[in-house]
Amino acid sequence: MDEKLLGQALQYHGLGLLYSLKAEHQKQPSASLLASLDRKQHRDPEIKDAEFQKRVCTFIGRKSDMLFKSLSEEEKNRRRHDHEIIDDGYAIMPPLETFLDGPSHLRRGHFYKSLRPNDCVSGVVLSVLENGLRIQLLCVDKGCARDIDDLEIQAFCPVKELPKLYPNESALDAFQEKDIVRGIVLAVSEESEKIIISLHEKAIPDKNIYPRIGLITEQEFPVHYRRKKQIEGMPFNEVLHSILGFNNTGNVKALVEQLGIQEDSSYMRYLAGLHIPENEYAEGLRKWQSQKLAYHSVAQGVDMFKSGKFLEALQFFNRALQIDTENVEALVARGALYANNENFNHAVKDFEAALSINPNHKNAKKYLIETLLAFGKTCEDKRNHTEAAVHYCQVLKLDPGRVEARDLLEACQRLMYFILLQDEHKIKKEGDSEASVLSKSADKLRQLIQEDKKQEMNLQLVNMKKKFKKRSFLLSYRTKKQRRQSAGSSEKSKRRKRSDSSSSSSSSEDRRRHKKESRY
Amino acid sequence: MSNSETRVHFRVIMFMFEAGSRLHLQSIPLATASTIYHKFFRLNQLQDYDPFLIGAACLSLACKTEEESVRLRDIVNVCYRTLHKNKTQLEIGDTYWSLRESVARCELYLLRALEFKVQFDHPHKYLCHYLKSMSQWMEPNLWEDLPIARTAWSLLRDSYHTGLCLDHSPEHIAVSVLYFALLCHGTEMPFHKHTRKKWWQVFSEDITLVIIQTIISKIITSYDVENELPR
Repeated sequence: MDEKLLGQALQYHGLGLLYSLKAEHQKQPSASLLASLDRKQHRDPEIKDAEFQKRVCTFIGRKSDMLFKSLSEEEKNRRRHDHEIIDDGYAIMPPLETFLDGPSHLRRGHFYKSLRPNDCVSGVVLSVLENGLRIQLLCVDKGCARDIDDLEIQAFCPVKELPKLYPNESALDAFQEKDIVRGIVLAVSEESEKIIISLHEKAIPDKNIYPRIGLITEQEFPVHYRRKKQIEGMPFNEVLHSILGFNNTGNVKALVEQLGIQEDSSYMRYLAGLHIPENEYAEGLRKWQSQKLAYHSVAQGVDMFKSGKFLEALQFFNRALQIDTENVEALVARGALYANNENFNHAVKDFEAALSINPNHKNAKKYLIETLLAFGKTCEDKRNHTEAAVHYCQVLKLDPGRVEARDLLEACQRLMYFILLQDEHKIKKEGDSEASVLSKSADKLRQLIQEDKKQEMNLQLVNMKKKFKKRSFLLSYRTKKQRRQSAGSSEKSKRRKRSDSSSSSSSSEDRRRHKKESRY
Repeated sequence: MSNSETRVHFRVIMFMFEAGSRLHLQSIPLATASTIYHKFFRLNQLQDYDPFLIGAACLSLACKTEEESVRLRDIVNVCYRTLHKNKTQLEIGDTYWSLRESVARCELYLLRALEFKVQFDHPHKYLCHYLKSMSQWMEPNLWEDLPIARTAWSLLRDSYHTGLCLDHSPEHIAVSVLYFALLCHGTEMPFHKHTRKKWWQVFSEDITLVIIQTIISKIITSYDVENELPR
């Protein structure tokens, strides 16, 4: 419990709270807390009901360990850290001060207490003096938003804090009376009511969050200042509902983060003491459930396997792996199925996947070794000795003490060497007959040239035939007119007899016939 | 509402809160679920229904209303686990499928019972905006050390263990919770006595001290219920 927080509450509530604390914790409060009780001022509570006050004190006493727990570092940091203001992320309201309507002398003192270095303020230039600018502050850009229009708070910006635009001119020449400027607060003195600000860029602490400083326009005033000017006596609630950001569904999340609140904080005892194990959240429960279902499917598949129904077994294993892709049992079982059907590639892949998930799975390792040996043997049967050797090497990597593998590997390597020697012999023989190769190549050339000539002649023939065909086509093609004339004489009489609808169909038939002819 | 009924409802809301945290639910969907639950049992008798089933259906319905996508499978798993911590977890089987169907049917029944009016205006966003305005008005040194925001938020979340949300408007609840938080920490707004308008009057035009007192008393009562529950 943070003593300072508890002391503050004691100071406010007095003896009533002290009694309830004693009743709750059964120990004497420390001397410092009692001292804070002495400091209690006579306070007239707003809600006069004594019974109510007593209930409140009992409540505070009971929940004191949770109420007065000091803020964690993370929460404090989030509040201090200046957030980028996203327009319409939430409803940016005019300062509360505007609605409260308090006495100005109190508000003045409060403002000087609240303003801190590195805050950003905006104001209007009152006068340009020799040693700097005198500015009347209008609002605060970064820091506590306040309504200080009517308070006539002045700040001073010395010459050396002004930005120098041109090297030969004095910086003061850039500014006139009634210019609107924005600057960073350098120092605040409450007693003497002095504020020193800087308009120079080098004073900005963080370029990402702070707005542009120096000479600004009226449009660049902060949102809460511009809103304040527009509301004209509207009550708080109405203003709140009129701002778009109030209806943004993400505004609660954004504000909770800005205020540094932990989203799931609660003062109920059962929630504070709630400890959920890592794997009992929704995802953990679902995963456990999927695994169980997958195992069940694997068991069914194994049954199928044993009774010889390999296709059904494969389906069960695939289903298990669809539900739970990392199910070791399913992978091992499926691998065994593939190996049984001599589908060695898939089998090896499955076993290796199983081993990558669970390197200590005995069955997976055993089956993998058996499969690789069988794989190697079949490779040798197909006279693919290099691949067989690779597989035997893999076996030896997994189990260096496997005698069978070593023997097979040696036999394989000897065979490979023998074949290699044979190949070399063949190449030598071929090398001796190099002279005959030359004559052979000359013959070949002659053959090729003859073939080329033949091909050319064939091509020419084909082209001639094509041209001949085109001409014949052209000959047979008649113009539209000629065709119509020949057809029209026979059709005219027919058309007169038929009705209008059928004549249109006959003309379409005509068109279709015309199309057919043109294709040939 | 009789004492035993209040306690049953409190237990069910406790169950919903725990299930909600297993599902990683945010405060607002949880608030919607609680409001639906309380509204339903204002209109119907407790003895006709299994309140835990209604609770699970409220969670499912609230997630859909607030557009937080939570699968029905997860809701069934989590609710079963929260209720039966001593049994083994639920496997896919007959129990699972029948529970799932029950929750889905109950959801539709809830909708019809509430005449499809399941959208609510919650005090959370009002409270957050009030807190933001307050944080600007208070002195920064004081604000940074006082856990007012945390207290107010916790009190608001906990208030859903009762049917407070149905009896008062969201602005009133937000202001009362804030007032209570300030009261607990023994702080007042700066120049509280000297401003022409009280801060709680500013936030809500039609609130009175009587309403604030009523709401705070109800909140304290709900914490008392927790104390009286046998462990």
